[in-house]
Amino acid sequence: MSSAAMQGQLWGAQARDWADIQEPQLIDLWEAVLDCSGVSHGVEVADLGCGAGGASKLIVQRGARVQGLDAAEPLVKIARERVAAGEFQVGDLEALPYADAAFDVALASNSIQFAGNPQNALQEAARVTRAGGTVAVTVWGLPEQCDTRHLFEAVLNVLPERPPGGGPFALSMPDVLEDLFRAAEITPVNEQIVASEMAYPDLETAWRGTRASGPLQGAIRAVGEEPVREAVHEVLTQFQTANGRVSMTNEFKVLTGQVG
Amino acid sequence: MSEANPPISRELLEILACPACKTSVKLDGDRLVCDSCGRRYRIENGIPIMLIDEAEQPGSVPSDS
Repeated sequence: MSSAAMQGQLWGAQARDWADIQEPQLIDLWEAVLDCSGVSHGVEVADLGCGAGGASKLIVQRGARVQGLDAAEPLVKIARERVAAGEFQVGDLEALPYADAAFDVALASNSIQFAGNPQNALQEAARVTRAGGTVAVTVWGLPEQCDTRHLFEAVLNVLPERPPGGGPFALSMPDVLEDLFRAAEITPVNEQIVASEMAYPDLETAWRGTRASGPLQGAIRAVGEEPVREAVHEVLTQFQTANGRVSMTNEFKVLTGQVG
Repeated sequence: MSEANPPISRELLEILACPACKTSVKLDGDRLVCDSCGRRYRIENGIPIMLIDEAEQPGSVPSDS
């Protein structure tokens, strides 16, 4: 099975929870990256790894046009329902179904780290972006700035072996993403760190939102839901306040670059 | 769903390309057909499924994988 097919199955497994619980947590990040990328009226944008269309919705609200692409068909279906003004395709970040130079901006928000080969994904993003256009990528910030790292560590500890790939923070270390940009002939222009709170009204909602992510679904496939649930609950309770609310603070890195 | 309405917009058709060979595709019913390699990509409820692994090869039946 290709990497895209596998990711599509993992991210599509709990698509509704991803759409309803997790994506709303990312609005501030998306607004920041759209500002950095000059997404405004008339701009043609590719939303690569669009999920359930959370960023695509903000893109069309700015009067820009969006094509959203994701490997998870259940998420793409929700995106299409939610963003009537956008168009959506199921596809592979490493083999984009677009003509060369079709877009002014290619956005890949928290997606290329899940590609089998992020370098290929960036080269494809650059290919479909016109000369002078912008490639914008967001990834987790440094692990020590991300409360969510505790969740990843707890889940890793219940797995018999480390999952393939570099993990959630593979592209977060200094210069890693910049070097990938340059190798794809994208000139890094601007880096921004965006703080982001993930807040849930209660423990169960926090679990459902967390469970909906691809890495968690991969862990559940490996060892079953109960050990993963136990490990995640233990971490989430550490971030629970007296009123039951769960709040985790993270940083994301936003890197934009120019093509050609 | 009316047959008179194409399943995807003309604007989208103009920028879509075969993910394998990056050449243009044309609409054939509810399939997008690569002008170069002949791979056929299905459109489901208005969503083109542009995965190479799921494309129908010219002259073959669809893969179940």
